[in-house]
Amino acid sequence: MAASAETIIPASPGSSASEPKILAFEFHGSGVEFFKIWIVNLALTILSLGIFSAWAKVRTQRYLYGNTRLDGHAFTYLADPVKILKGRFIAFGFLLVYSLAWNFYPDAGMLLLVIGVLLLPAILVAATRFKMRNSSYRNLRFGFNTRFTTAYRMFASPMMIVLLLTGLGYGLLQFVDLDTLMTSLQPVDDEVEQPVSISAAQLIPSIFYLVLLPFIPYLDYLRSHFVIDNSHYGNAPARLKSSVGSFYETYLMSLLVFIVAISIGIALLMGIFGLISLLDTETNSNLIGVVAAIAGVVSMYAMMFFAAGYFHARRTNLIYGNGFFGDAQLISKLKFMPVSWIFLSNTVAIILSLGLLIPWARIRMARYVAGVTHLQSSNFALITAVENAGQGALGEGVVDAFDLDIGL
Amino acid sequence: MHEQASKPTQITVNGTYFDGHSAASHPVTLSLDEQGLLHLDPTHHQPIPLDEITIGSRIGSTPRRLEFPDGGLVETGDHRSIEQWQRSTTKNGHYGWIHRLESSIAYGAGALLFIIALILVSLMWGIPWSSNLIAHALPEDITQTIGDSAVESLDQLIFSSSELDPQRYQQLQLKFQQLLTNSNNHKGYRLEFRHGGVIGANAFAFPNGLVVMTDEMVELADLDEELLSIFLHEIGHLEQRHSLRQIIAHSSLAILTTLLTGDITAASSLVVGAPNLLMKASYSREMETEADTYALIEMERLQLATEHFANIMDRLEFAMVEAQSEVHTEPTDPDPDDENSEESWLNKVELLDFFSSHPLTEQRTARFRQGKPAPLPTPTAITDSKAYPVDFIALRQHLNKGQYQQLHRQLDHHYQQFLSGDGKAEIIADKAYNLLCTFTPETQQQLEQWAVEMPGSYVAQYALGIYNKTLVSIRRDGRYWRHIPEQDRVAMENHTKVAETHFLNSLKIQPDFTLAQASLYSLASFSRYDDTDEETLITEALKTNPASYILNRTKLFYLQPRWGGSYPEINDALKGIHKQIQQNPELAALTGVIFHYKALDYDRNQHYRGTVRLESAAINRGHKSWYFANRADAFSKLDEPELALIDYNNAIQLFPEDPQLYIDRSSVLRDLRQLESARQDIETVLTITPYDEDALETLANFQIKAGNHQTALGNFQKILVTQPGNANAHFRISKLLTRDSGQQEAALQASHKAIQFGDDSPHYWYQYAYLTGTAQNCAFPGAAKTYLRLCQNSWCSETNLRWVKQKQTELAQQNLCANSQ
Repeated sequence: MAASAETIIPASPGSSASEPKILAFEFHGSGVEFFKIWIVNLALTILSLGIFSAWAKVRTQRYLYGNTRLDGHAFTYLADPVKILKGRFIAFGFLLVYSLAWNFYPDAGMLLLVIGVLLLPAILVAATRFKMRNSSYRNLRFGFNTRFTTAYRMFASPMMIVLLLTGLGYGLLQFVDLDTLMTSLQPVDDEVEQPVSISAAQLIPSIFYLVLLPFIPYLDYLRSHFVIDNSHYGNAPARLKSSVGSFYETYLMSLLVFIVAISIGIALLMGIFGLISLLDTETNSNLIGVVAAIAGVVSMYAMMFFAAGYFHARRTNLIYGNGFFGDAQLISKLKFMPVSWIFLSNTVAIILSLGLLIPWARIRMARYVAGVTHLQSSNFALITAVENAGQGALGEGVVDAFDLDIGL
Repeated sequence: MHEQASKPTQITVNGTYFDGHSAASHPVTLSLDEQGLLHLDPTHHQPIPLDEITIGSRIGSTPRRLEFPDGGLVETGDHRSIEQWQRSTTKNGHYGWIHRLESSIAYGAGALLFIIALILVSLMWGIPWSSNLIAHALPEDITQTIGDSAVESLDQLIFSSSELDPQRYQQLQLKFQQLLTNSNNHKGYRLEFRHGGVIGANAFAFPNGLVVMTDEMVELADLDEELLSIFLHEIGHLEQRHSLRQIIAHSSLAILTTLLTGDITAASSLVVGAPNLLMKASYSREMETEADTYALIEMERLQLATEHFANIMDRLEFAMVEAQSEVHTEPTDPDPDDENSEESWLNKVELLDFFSSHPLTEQRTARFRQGKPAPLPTPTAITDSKAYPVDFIALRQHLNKGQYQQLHRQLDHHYQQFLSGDGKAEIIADKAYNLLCTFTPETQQQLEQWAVEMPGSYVAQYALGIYNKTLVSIRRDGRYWRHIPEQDRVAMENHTKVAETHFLNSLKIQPDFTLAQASLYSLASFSRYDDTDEETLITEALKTNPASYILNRTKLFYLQPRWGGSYPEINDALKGIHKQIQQNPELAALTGVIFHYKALDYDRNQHYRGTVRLESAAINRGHKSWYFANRADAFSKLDEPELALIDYNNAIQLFPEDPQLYIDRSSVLRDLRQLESARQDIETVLTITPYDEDALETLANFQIKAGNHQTALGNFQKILVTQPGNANAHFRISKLLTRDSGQQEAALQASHKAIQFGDDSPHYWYQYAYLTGTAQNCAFPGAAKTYLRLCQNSWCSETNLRWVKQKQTELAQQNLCANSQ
């Protein structure tokens, strides 16, 4: 076990400022132990018709938090299962109404969807606050201080622009003869007597997504700053020091890697199929064909995991690697190859075990992430000097009634 | 410190104290005194009663929390000591049982089994049962709304408005309305038609009582009764509220999965989706069976032949397999008779069935075939005048006499007539070549002589090609590819190459000779050796002569699924042919060919009633001898020789020069005890193909019956001219020779050939054993042994067995052949 912070702190405070020290995160969970916890809690959840799920969540979270240590001390998850249960009831009710509505009254389903989307910023605030306030380290809680309105104000302007542009696009389409456009896009074919006719209104969702696309890195930037900048540990405020540009860079690079990976995947796929057609002239064996087709598709998926791993590693490093608690900076050094491999092997293991390896997969990921995350500070005395933020801080007690845990 | 006997007061616990105001940590040692007060050393907190401390529950190996009322906290990993303290107080200790469950392997395994069992039970019984309950309890207006919106969205997404003839539309609707009035079940069920497009032939039942059938389904049906049966099946779905049950089951499954995986965010959607998919499939399977049962009962009540449903389902399956073969563009095994391809096709269907929502069609249709069968259509004698007259006797005489100029002129004349727009002349020419080039020992020499004398005759070159092509099929003798011995394969390969050269020569002289183009294409499709690009071959040929009957027929033939084509491709080809009918009216008869091919599929599946019905549909499109012949064959397999005879007469009227028709008719005539006519038919065959094996054997049988052994012997010997390795002929010759005491040696030789060439048939071996035994030949012991071995697996006459065994002991006693054993 790592030595405690007290022993690291140098005798003379003066020299510490020039020498940054690094504290390691560690993860001590074991797959077998976690599996037993997970499966028993799942069974209890089922036996209790889902009621116990809130307690199950608390217990599994506490296992994961409790096994994550920084400087030899574990984190703690302190959520009250009853509050989680309340949140779940509300979410479940909404889901039930929503899915019934889609099946029976699609229009009402659409309305519920819009309401759901409009509620997203509020849910983000509530869920982040819940998560932060129920995380603790060294008997001091994390916290998240903001009002619901802040979230709405922040997302309002970019979303307004997106909606405006969508409207503009829709307006422009009024001047385009869609039928001729569609016909010209379709391959000439005598057999198709009626070309697919499409109205501009049907295209609204497509226009919306198209317009939204370039805003996604910016929205992620806003969201990450919103979450981190409003958080604190004890009385140490959290800060994210990253620019919009770095978000765009991360997303664009990931897009590039995605395109390259997919191209390689397609090339592999074609290569494998080409190989089969060479092999298959005489034997005509179905088995070879099936195996090769599976191999081709798997290699294609593997390339997609590669791209996903790259994105995840870069984004995590960007957001956590630039996070500060007071003076202390988080260092996140996820490497995209191991992340891709964990993604890929976890998914394969989960599918092949029909979900039974989910606990093992989570432990693996947690262990890797903990292993490459550090905290660096020139003055570790600061950590021990952090104090409770106190109850007087920005309306935390007031919003307690709204505490919800809604998974996002 | 950890001894079991130790009292709570003797225990000390190491931990870390946090005051809750700062992040600073303080290592402490805890101890409990006799009054139940907890002491910290060093004293960061004053002693406090253990009862006032909240001890957190234990989760795995994570640190245990001891929370003080003032916000202070001690964390420790010494769970064992803490638990001993807990036991000494009354307040704490809840949740301990969860940890006991969580830390035990037995409980973990139990939980695992419980979850698996629960998922299975709810998938198999729970959800179906509850969704059935809910579906029947839903009020009318909700089901109406669901149905309306479903129809609306399908109309937008998939369907387009029906392209049926409005009159036919009305007529069908009226028919169904009558059906509903008669069946007392008219709960507002309606029928509408839509164009299916991508989904093809299908029918849908919506909860609002609307049944939608696609135009493609209407086209697929031969009879309206078949559509009625589909309609009843769909009403069956509605009566059982199947679609509602589906919707509710899917929603419940979604809810169930949310319940189960409430905190499992890592679960990929595929894991969640898989059971959903499987359940959906197995559900509708059950439902299809329920709807089938409903249709079956209703059809019987309405006195509709239940077979109609089986028939249209069979055709629907064809359509589905076609759609499959569309996806697998790779052609199937080029050898159409290979049993393997049949098997793997079946395997594929079974594999598909596991995922498809329809039970294997065969299982379903079997129920419908048990009822009273629909009446067979009765054939009528046709009045077509002799369709394509060819005086092949005269042609053959020209060949015999070496009158090559005349031959060339006459055959070229037919083709020139075709070029000047007479579609019939091409068919006549095709027939003439085929009849001229039947195998006789002299033919080859004569044809070669012709080619030498008239080197520029495309006719002679083509005739030689056809002759060699005929040899290929004689060598093949209708055998499965794998049963053809190596020497025959080599011979087939050689003949194919020769034929190909001659066809190409012919085309060099007459580049647009449709017959040679078609033959070349058929050769390429037929043989395994050639790597000619068949598709381009026929496509190019059809560009110059799109109205050629022979080219179109050949193309269609090789578009059959068993040759690697598919029905949609045939349909496309037929669309092209339709445009040419004005050019060449002969093509009209080809439009029925798709029914003919499907009839052949039925035939292979031994659904002879289906064959009859589909061939009738083909005959309605045009009179072709092969349509009649195939229907006649089906009639005869259905034990209707009178009906078969009418159709064989029709076929022969259309194609009097086809020897096979006479052979088949002769067998039907024998069934009808018209022996003289049967015999005449066989003789007719021999005037056309003098060396036809079947005809010669049949004729010989007639002669044997009449006591004419010597002529019969001659006929069997004639078979050996073309097929020196025909075991049966050798065997029959041996049998005939045995009668003559002077011919025993020859009989023995023939018998030896029979066992040499034939497969292991006990008949052949008995004959051989008999002859060697009587002659006291030393080959007997071996022959007897083989015969007795073969008789273990197949039936042998008791008398023969006894004779052989007796002879065995007899010879063994004489000890004549002891050395040669």
